[in-house]
Amino acid sequence: MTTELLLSIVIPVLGGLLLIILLVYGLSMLLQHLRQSYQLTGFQKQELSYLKKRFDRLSPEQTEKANRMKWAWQGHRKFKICNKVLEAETICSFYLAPHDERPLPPFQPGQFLTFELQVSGQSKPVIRCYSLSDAPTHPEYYRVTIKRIPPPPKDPDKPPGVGSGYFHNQLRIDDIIDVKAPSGNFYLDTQSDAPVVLIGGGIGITPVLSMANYLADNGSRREVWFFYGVSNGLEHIQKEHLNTLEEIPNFHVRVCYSDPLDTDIKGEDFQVSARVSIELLKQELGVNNYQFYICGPPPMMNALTSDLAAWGVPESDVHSEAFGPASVKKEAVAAVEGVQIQFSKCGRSLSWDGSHPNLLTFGEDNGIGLPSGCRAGNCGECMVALRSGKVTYVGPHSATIESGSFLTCCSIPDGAITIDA
Amino acid sequence: MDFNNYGFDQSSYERPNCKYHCGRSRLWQHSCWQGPNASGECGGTSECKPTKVGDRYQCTRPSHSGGPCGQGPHQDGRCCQQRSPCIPKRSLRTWRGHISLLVLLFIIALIEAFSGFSGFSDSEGRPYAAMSDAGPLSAAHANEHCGSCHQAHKNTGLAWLTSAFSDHDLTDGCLSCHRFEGNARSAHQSEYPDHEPKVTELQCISCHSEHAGQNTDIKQAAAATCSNCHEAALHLTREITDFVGSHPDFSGNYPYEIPQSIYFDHKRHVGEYFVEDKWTSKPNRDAEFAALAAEACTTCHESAGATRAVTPKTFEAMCSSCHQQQIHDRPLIVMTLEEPMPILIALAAATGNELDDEELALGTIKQMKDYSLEPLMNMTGDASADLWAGLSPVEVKVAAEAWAQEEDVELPMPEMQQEAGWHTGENDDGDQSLFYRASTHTDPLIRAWIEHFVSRVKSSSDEELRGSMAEALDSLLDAKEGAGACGKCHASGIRNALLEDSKGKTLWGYQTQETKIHTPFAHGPHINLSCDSCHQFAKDVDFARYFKNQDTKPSEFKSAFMPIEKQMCSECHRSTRKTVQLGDQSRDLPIQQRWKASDSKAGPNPKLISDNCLTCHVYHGKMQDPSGFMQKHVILGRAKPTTEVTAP
Repeated sequence: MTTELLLSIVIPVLGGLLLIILLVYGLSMLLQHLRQSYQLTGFQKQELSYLKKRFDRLSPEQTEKANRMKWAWQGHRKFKICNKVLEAETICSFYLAPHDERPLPPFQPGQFLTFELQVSGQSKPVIRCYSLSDAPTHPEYYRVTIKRIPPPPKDPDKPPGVGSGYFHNQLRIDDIIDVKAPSGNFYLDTQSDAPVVLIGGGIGITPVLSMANYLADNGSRREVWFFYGVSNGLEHIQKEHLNTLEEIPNFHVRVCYSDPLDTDIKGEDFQVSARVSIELLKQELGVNNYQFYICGPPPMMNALTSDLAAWGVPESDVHSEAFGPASVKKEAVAAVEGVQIQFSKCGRSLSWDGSHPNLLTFGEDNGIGLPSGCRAGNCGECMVALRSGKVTYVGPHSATIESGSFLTCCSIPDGAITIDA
Repeated sequence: MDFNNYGFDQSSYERPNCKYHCGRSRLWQHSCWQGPNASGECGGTSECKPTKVGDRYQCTRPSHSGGPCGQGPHQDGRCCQQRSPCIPKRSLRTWRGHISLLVLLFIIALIEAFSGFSGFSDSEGRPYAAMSDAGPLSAAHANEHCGSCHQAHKNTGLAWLTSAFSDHDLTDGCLSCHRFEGNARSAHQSEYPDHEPKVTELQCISCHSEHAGQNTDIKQAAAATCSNCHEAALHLTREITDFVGSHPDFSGNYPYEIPQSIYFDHKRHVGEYFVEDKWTSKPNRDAEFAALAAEACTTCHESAGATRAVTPKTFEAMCSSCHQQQIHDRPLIVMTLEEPMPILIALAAATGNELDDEELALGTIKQMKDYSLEPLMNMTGDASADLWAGLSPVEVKVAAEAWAQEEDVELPMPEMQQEAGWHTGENDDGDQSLFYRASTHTDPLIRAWIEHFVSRVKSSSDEELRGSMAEALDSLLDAKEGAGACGKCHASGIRNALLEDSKGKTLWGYQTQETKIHTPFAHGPHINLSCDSCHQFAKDVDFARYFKNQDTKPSEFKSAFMPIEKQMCSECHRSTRKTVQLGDQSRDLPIQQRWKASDSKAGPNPKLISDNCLTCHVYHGKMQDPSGFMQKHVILGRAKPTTEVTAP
């Protein structure tokens, strides 16, 4: 009887509790459903926000592109030296403002300017290409940083660099020079969010410094490694600026002295007392999922590009700037010896002996006046018409080549050819 | 057939292991290739899950989604194609499962919460039926409550729950009041050894429907209900719907399948002795008998209270006026000096004596002279008291001494020989004998003698002895000379009792036709019809052959009446039918219609009569005490004194 009485009380109470729990649970499910509906709206907003962010990121680029198209100029434009800053003993930055005071077109970080210098003592204008060393986030000026090229150490009797010497020794503030619009295919992919490794060797820092500044100025969250290789503190430029970059969380700056002076303090002036090498990259990076941008002297670039390929980095992930003659030789092309090179204007016919790296030096050594510029396939100054035959390019070139013409500075004959020169 | 249509990524089948769908499906019109994980979290926050090979993370985006991307993974192993996570949605199957579970639990909770509260019950603890009212009960069960039938559920929520997991049925509740002989769950509470499949798990609700209102006759069942089993059992090709169209023909001799136990020739009595002209074709009938003869069937048959059998009245009421004297005139002669009687021969054989007929009689007489009744009683053993009741030892001694001296027994008063009782001396044939004269019908001594020899014939294993006994019985049952003229009417009944399959058959009384427990025809409702509407004399039938010729088998018996055929019943039992919805069952009920004048052969009953199966058949042939049953009053959850009420 007691059990029955107990059950008659307990069962209804349990049933009532269960009913309450179920009602609460049902209500919570309803609320959860409503919340999910709301979250779905939030999710749609999130998707829209993501798209908007992408749009916002693309929008300035589109604006830049539009401005670039709008303010671009053909041929030469007069620029005034508005400032001149000595970065190191042999390195100086020149700030260029348009003489016509019209707005400057933005450029891609890593591109260069092509100067046509009227150097006294030179029979024709000297064509030189110098990378823009600052970010395109400063619309009021362009900056190029130029190292004064001394005579080759092995041959001190040879003259120093004509172009760099002209900049360092002759150009003064308010001087006016002729400049072509920014060009070059070695520039940062600003639309990507891939992590980047920027490697600058010596004065090769300039394009990668422009890239780093661009990323820093735009507050990019991309992982950025900046390797700067120089001999010692005497060539170390932008030290304070690089220290500022180092303070950005996603920036990692490594300054490498290959031959530090006694006065150079490791840990303060530099971090690594060695050249920029693949071992250093492996040690610092760990993995190689980066976009590599390399600019430096030919030995360093040749070594790094081959070592990166050996490390498993796809060729598409390695971007290098070729400056100066034979900057980067990716593969050796053996031209057929004995083929006839016909120069139609001067009426000479020469036999290709295979001892010259390109047709430009072949012509110059044989006394034939060929135009020349950067000698690295970038400026297009050496472009001449090809009347017959074919040529093979032996190095990278970024200049736009017109149909029926070719760049003499980076090509060799592929059989008998006739050149309009 | 393209089986790819049924692939896991092609088919729309809701797989049990995929409880969530991609939240982007609606926006993208398709799911991302990763899909949500089992916990319902978005699995597509990036295009791939890069793997590290050496010092490089490799893109793992599958080819069906575009293959490895151009940019490749980030330096920290992240995919370069990051997406904001979606909010996966539960699959329809999951929703269904949740809702089903909730509904189930909700119902359980409702039952638990409300069925047990006293506040939801009446003063006697009966729960208000608002939640579970299946409809009003029939008048027969109007005073019952739910727990009377639904005993497993009672009225508590706990019982409701436990009942779902217990083996019970409503029949238990029915059987607590209604009692049946045999297995109540077997078809007709009977066993049918030759019937397959065995029907032993029937439920009362298979035929009886409750909760259809007070006006419902719960005892009724539609023909379709019977048809469920009998359609196959009767080899019918269509459902049983009505009597005329569905019922099989009656058996050939219905209802006269078995021979009568008493030889009574209706045709002869009516034709020769009855008074009115309509009964007889014999113009010069005996006026003496005609004055005593019956005037109608009911003169002899007791119609009041007739059921299947309309039993005849007693011998004294019907037959004695003509046949009483025959009983008196035919004495039981045990022995004579002139001719040894088969009775005495059989009795002597039973004692092991092998005397010839003459020696037997003389030897017995000599013994009787010396020992009075003792020699006679030695021959009849335990039955002596019944067989020799009233026989005077003195009279036997005197007769024996006279017969031993080869003298006739001197009769003190010759007229006394005509009185009932034992006598010694000269009988009606002039022989000196020991004989008994019956006093009236059902004379106990003659019955004892006949039954004694019936018993000895059945029990004798000795063929010779059995023959002697049978010969003695035949002499007793001789139609013309048998003792008390018993054999004139009862011989066939008594001989039937000697057959091997005679168990239960009567020796003397009127035996009705074989009882059909499921077809208890009742004469009562038909009493307004004249008897000859159904019972008509058969022409050219040798009715007496069976009774007069001992070699005739019971199966060869031919009734003096013509068999009753189905057509005879369907004259009245036919109807148009209408399907009526009763509760949740549809029933096929007849519509009573007035009999058209042109068709009328029904006499005083102007209506068509129901031809429902249960009009003539009774399902429960073995119901204990059909007039009443134990009625229990069980109040749900509360014990109340149990009373047994037997209906008057």
